[in-house]
Amino acid sequence: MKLDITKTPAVLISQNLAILDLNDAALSLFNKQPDALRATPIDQYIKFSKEISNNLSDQWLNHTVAAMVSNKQVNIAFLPQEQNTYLLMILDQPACTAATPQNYVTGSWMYNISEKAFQLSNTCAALLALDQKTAVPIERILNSFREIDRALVLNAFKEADLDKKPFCLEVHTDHSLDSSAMQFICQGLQDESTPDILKGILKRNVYSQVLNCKLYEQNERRRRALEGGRIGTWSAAKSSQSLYFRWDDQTCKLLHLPLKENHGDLASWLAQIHPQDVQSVKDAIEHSFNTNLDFEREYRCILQNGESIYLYAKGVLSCDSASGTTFLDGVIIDHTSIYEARTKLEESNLLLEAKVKSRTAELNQAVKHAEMASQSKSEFLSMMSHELRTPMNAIIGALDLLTHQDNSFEEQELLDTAAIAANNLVSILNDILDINKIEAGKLELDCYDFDVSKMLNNIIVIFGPIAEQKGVKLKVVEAKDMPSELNGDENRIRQVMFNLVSNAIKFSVNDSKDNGLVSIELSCTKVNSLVSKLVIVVKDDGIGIDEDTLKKLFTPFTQADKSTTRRFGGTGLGLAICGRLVELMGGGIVVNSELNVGSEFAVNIPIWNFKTRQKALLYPCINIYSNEHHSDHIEQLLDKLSFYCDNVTQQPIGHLSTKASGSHCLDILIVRSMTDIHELDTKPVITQKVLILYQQDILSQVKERFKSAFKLDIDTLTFFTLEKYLTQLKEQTSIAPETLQEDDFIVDLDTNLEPNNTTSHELPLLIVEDNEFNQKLMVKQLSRLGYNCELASDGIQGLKMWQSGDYALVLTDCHMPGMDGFELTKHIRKLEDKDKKQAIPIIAVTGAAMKGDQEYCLSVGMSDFISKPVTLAKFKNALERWYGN
Amino acid sequence: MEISILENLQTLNEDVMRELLGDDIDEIKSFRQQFLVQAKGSLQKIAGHYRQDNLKEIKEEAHYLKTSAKAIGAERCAYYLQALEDAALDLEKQKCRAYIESLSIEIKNVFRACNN
Repeated sequence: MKLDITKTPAVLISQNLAILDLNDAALSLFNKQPDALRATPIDQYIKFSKEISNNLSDQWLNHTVAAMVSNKQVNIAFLPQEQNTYLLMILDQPACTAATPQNYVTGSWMYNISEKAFQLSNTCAALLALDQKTAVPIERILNSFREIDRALVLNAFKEADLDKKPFCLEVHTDHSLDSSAMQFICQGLQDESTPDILKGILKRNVYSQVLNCKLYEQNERRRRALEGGRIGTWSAAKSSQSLYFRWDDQTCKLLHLPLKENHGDLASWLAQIHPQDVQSVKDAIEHSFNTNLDFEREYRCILQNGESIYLYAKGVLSCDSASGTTFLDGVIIDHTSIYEARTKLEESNLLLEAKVKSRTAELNQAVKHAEMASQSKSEFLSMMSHELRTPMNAIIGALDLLTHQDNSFEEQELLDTAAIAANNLVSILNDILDINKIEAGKLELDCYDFDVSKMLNNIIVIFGPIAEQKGVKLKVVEAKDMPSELNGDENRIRQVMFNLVSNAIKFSVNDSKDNGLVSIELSCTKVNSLVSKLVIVVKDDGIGIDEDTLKKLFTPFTQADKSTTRRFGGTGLGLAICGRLVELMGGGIVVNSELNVGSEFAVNIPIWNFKTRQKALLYPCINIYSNEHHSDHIEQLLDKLSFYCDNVTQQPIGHLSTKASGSHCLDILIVRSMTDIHELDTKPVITQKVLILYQQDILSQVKERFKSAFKLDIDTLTFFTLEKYLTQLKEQTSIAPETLQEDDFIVDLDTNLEPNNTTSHELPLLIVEDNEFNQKLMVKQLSRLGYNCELASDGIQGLKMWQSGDYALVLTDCHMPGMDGFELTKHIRKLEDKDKKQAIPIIAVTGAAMKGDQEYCLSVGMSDFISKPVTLAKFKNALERWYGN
Repeated sequence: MEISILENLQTLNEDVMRELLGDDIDEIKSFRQQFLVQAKGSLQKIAGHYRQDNLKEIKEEAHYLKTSAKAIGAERCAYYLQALEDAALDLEKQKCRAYIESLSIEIKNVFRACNN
């Protein structure tokens, strides 16, 4: 509320009589700061003549009450306001108890006749809504009044200029919002000494003034709101047949019209409207007047600058029955921005609809193609199923027949590998065919108890050679507490592992390195008392997967990109099948990957039933010979061996005895480097049963060095393979180490077989022979003749053994890999000359029997020559000649 | 040689091993097989010692094998081994020869008995 429009002290109070606001005059009267006054009870500052209560009754409202303010007798006018507030106007004159609201706001003025200018008091200037207070020209004063009053005021002053007599006029100000008049009173000359100065007052009823203030304020608010909303108001009045329109300043502004052009007839109202919309608007107005219904229209207007705006107009009809005039009062709202937005939206919608139609057509076409492709795929798969499975069944059948024959252990291993591969291939074929079932949700799991370690071995048997071919190292970590059997769908779990390991090997080929590493980790962890989970982690150090591809990794027919497909092949079905299968088993797959670093696929599958691994003691003691004592390999091996033996010892390779340590104990030799091989080269050929665990890197050397020994890759060792080999070794050990015959128990006691020098039998013979059969045969024959023998598998090993051992003579094959018998002889003779040692007899044992061959043998330093096949008599003759000589 | 005693002895008294090991046939077979392997080696060693006139060593080897023979129930073998041991101790080479030949034949009998 604009209390400042008057200098009359005014206070706004709440319903509970606390001060809410007050004007400067009131502040001055109370001599307090606003903050000190606000929210305090009004009766602290005004002492009313009668007790004031919270519930102001009619005897207070719109009446004046006598009161004391700052020891001054005043009258207080109570004016009800909005929201249960009250305005207290503090007036000078004491009020009679029966006073009527005849109180005025009074301002004074002086008029200089000669200068035709006014001097105004503050109140007077406020009543006239003028800022200027001194030397105000009479024209400015006149402009404050309504036009019809101006002539009256001017004439009154013209007369007063002459006669200097007082006058009193009822005038209306142009800015006044109510119809009440002000009293413009001339009191005559100011004094006799100033004949050209008139004085007077301007009085207005205080209620009119307050009302005016409120009206002004309301109008201001409304104006601001309408201006902000670009809303104009208009009114049409119809009396008899004529229509008269008026509109406000805001309408003028919207239509770019001069403010004076704010009224007119129907034609004036329609003048701005777009020609195409004129008739519609005209008809709507007429229809509204004819039917007493409200008017509502959207139409365009053309502005003077040629621009078009879009207006929304609405009018409400009312009738004045007294005058017979019908009014249509309404608003116009500038909807240009809304219309433009709507137009754009419509255009956008049209565009979108067109796109949707186009895309729908494309999608329909794509669906048709997809359906055709799907049908083709199904037909293709059916055909593939028949064409591939039929020959595979034949292969599996043939392998099965072969398996039932009497095969050696090695042959059986090969047959098992082939059978595993064939069965896996059929399983994969079946699985591929099942993709449709999976996607249709019709796949059922076939759960049973199975050996998870055997399944793992199955994977290694298949992928080991593939990895080796690609230069990728496979590593298996099988937790010690893995169950021996668990209940699940073996085929599906194996299929998941197949895919993951296959991918890992495939993508391990990283440009930035030569060799890849793929590790497969299996463990089983307890989730709660009922459920455990099988955890399969397949890691590689390959090309990795970017984040975008990770998101769609388990979508069918998806690979990283086309270049991946070109480079690595594959259908893109594998991981999709894996994902669906693991989901079906109630598990999940978590993938972590980093480009050019590698990927890790962790599969979790819930397991409800399993059998823990039980001890199956196969050996009373196991000796591990290894030059490494504390490595992951050793730890894992010890963990596994603890199920098969309670007494496992560890020793360096150097402690390995090449003679049988006893039929009940097992020796395990760990060969992880060429250094280990070289160390073993200085020892005689191992004749006892031993299990060799080797590193993949030196496989070829191990194969060459230990031809007939049981060998396993230490990196891919599983419970299944270890138990299988340990059992096989035990069976071989428990059977006679060599086949006995009755003739073995014949003794020859004739003295003519006795060598001449019996003492020389204590020194062993060194046999250098690469052929294992010949080794055994020669050892047997020489044993029959009473000689001890030690074996070397080639010239290199033979030379090392000759250097480190003490032998009576050397029997050597001539043709061997590495170093042959001739080279061996040359080396020995050279070293004997150098060390001035007595020459050891070297006898060639060779399949060559030509005369020249014998001469060649002698020429390189050999002592004698025996041709194969070597009979006992040949050996006997040669040895009698050379043994001890 | 006391024929009467020898006649009462068996080539392979199966009760002996059964008393030692019970009815574990595989284990019994394994021990018999080990004895035969040992006997084969020992026999050749004894022959060698004989050829070398090393009668003391014959006595030691015979004694060693005799323990095993008794363990598997090869009673006649044990008898010949004891006789050989005695002959060797008495430095009776001719007797030794006869006992070694008898031992060889008897071990063949044990071999047959084991494989039946």
